[in-house]
Amino acid sequence: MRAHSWLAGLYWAAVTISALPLGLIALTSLAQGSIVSFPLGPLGLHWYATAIHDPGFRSAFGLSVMLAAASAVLAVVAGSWIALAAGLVTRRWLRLVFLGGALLPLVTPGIVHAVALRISIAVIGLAPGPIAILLGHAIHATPYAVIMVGARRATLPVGQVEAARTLGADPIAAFIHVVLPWLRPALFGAGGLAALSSFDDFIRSFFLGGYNPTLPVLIFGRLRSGLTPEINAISTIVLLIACLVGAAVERLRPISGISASALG
Amino acid sequence: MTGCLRTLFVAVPVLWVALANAGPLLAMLRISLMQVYPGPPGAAPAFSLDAYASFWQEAGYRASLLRSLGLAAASTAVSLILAYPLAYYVARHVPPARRGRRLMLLIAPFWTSEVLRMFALVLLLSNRGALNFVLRWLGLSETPVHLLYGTGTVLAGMVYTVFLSMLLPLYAAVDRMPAHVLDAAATLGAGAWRRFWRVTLPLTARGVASGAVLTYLSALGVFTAAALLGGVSTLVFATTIADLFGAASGRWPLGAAFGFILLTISTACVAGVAALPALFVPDDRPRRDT
Repeated sequence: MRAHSWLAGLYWAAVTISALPLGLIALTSLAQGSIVSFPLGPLGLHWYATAIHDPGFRSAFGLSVMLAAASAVLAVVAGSWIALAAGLVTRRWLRLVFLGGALLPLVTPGIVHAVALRISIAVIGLAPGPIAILLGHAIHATPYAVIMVGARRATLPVGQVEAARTLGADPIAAFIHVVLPWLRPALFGAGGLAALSSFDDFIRSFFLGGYNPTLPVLIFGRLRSGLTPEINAISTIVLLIACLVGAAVERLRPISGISASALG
Repeated sequence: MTGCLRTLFVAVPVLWVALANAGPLLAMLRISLMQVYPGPPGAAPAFSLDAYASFWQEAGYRASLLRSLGLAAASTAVSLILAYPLAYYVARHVPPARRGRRLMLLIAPFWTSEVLRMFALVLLLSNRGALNFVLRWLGLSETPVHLLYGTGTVLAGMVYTVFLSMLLPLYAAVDRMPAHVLDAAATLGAGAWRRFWRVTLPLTARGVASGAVLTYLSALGVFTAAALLGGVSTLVFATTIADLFGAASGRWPLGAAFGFILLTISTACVAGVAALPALFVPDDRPRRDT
């Protein structure tokens, strides 16, 4: 087939255009002046030094990293459990209802999900804060784990568990020594995806957060109160972390129809 | 596994799904039917449809919902037109060994938070931003061109937010398409356009449908694009809802009702598209009888 050079041109244009604005954040973070304005003037790392010593940034950074890790663990446990339990539901329509319910957060528009969660924590008497955000992020990311672990579970050779059982393993031993190792790539893939979606999440953190913002909420707040160059440095740091995690996730897991922020 | 343990093993995730996924939506529905929330302590809550009634009474609310529906439809259309050739190119014209890396390059900007992507657009489009600098430098404009706070900017922001929801289902659909059917069509003398309309598009129609519904849903729920790139004339339903939950406004029932309206619309979209393939779209699996 002939090479479609115009398609290739379009591809490189799309790559450039979608990355260019983000590159602009990194570029402007190097400007030394106190207003972000083009042309940039002398360049340096001045604003990075300011950012690193900013207590607001440091606490938001700690909170975001902790939430990413904790919500990823919770989402992977809940999602794998759902995916494995669904295999035990024998009636087809019951299984479909169960899995449909499990994927509900994927098809709920972001603002609706955030508002519904905000109402729920008020109903159960939980104050906005890290625990509320943790639950919100875990609930949001659980469907990723359901899909990825479910897909991996479906490829488990049927005979393996039976062989382990025949050789005397009890169900728990068979699970630990046969099923779990088979699921491992999906568990790490889903965990990475969940961590990234938590680290990037704005809408749930915005509605469920207390006085301490996560990084995206901190950046949003400072953008609203006016641009300071420090935000560019903070944003560049966040950008680099997100890209590192994203690259790691994609390496763990072949690119499939369902990926990272696609279902934000 | 004994029956009791088995029941427990299934019951825990069923409970999680009910409480964590369905519960919040039901709580939202319940509060949308309350007259006030939180009600006076000790009193039984009074239920009414007031919140839904005020949606019909105030033109501003309806306008913001219509703007949301329109902007979401526009961002879905723009994403489809942009993503289709890109997905097609990567899945069909890039050698398999390089495909993963090429797709990753397209996806990488979307690993970042939507807040950062909107911030990036501000840096590009503001009066002192990069684009105005380039225009001035080229001598095309002496005074800054106002690029922010318009409908077009919000649309661009929404596309930049939700683009991946379109790209990935399309890529999966084109990737699944059996390679030989296009060669067969070419051998039988079909030109490029005819091959596209009669073979490629029908075979990827399901991917288009699922990409469109995912993109539309995501776009309906986007808050940051309007909040950071828009102005008063571009208020979308998401910002209207968020404002009702703002500090001390005490208008949660109204906000919950609006959330429920948006949820109903998006559920109808999912159901409609799920029903669609059976009605209009040919099966995308290769068939033997043709």
